[in-house]
Amino acid sequence: MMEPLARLASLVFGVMMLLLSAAITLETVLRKAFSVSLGGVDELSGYAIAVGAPLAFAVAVVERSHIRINLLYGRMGLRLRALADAAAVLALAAISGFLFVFALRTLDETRTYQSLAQTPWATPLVIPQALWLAALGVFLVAAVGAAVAVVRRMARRDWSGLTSLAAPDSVEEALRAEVRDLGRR
Amino acid sequence: MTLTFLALGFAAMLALMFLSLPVAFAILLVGTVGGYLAFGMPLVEMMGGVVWGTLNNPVMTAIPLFMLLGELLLRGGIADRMFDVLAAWLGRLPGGLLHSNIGTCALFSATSGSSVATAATVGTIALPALGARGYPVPAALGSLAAGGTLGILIPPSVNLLVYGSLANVSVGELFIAGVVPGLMLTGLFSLYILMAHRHASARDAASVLPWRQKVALLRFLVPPGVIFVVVMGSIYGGLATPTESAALGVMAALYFVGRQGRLSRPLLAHCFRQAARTTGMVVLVIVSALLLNVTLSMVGTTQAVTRWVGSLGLDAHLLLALLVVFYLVLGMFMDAMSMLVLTVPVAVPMLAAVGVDPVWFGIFIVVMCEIALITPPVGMNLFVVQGLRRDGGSFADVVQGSLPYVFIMLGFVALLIAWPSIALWLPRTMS
Repeated sequence: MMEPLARLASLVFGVMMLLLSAAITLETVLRKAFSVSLGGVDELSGYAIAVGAPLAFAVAVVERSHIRINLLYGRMGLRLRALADAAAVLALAAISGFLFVFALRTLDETRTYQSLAQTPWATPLVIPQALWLAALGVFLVAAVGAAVAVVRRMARRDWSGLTSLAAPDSVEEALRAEVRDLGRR
Repeated sequence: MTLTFLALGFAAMLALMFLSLPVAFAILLVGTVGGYLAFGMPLVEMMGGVVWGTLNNPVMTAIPLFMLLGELLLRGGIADRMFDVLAAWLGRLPGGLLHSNIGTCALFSATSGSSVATAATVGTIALPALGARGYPVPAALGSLAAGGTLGILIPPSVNLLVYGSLANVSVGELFIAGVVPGLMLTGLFSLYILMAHRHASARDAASVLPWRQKVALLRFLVPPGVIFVVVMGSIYGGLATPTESAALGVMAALYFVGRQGRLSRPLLAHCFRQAARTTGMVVLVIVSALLLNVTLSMVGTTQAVTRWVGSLGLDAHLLLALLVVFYLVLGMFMDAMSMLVLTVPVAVPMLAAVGVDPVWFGIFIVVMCEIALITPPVGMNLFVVQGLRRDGGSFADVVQGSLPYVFIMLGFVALLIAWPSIALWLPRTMS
């Protein structure tokens, strides 16, 4: 279930960044060559990262890529490693919940005060913030989903299953993937 | 009082990190709990607005765009032939292919931004060639591991971008400031090979390519060269912000990949996925660090640290020398990104108090991050290069081969401290 979510999140993320690049390129060329400005591209690029980043957080959860320090981890036995992995996944779920709740409150305030962006477009902030909240929702689903899977393994005392789900992606794994990709190029 | 509070927070953060909890979590937890202890709920309530404010920021957009640019160049195969070109051009120098390793790694990692991808690509091509031609193993491995560190300094560099967002310093200036030190360090690495490994290529009887073919090979440097000029030229010429230059780079890369007939849906999907993954891991840590900054500034960190440094009566040079030791040790146990987010919020105001330029400090800290990539026990590039070997040799070979480069970089840091204009000259000509 997580894989399709990550695939969709990275597709939306990537398409958004490509479209933004096209818009910025157009704006930059028009501005320098013809002194014409489309206006608002800067504002759009702020919204793109606000919405894109939580999607990227979700992808990084599925790919087990959120940064952890493995100095001691590498020296732990299976049981301890499984505990550390479980704690890490639960911690990410906590972050996603924390961000989601705060975003919800921010959006609530924006609606109450009908805040507008301090830009020439004066965009009602409800629109980008609603999209932001939706993206944080995707992060929440990915992180809580991972947490549920881990807790289940814990209940079954399936330590090796747990680490295979939640161990940080290792250098060897990353290298193998790169070498595979190199072979395909 | 504030200092004790800060020291406790820092220790708690380190402890959580070494328990292998996500770095972002350690930072967020300490930031929120610290904020709550000092000011109660109102500070915690503020944080939603801060998250929106940090994320809705065009400067941050440069991160996913540069990640995407790197992925397109890498997966599109634009950088794959660099080693062949540099092997043809540099292979005849004393030290032979070792120079090609340094040069290719420098060019490649400057475009791709990922150490693992750089080592995998360059190493997969270079290691068999080096082995077949009888190069000493540690020297070969060391040049790959050290060469791979150059990319985080040579712009466009994600580490400089992260530093810029944490320290509130112009990313454009940082990028420009990284050019001369990046080139100098590359030059110093090559100089070392010329002196220490000049006989390494003695058995290298590689056929010498005729000039015509050598020149023809240069065409493979055109796409990465054009993209570098577009990105850095637009920043240097004041035509574009780093975010805009990244967007221009993405469009140029898309053009070159398309011209090679490699643009396909699976390729794009792969690039999107990888760019999202790396963006996610970097940006989550930055967001946490910026939230921690709220607490730090509310408890008056800058003033407390400034006063403390003042009371010690240290001058800038002594303070920097202490920081070199501090970062050297920290870097043995921690990855570069964690080191940045953990220390920048406190170190920058502290150094500003003794008159150190924040742009210069960005270059300094990124060179220290480069060292961290090749110092054991946790130097990522060491593991990456070891992971690529097929001869089953020991990890000690990689460490032994990389160690001289650690000393070269430390020497370079000394130069940088003695002559800050190594970093600051170019950005100053710009303004």
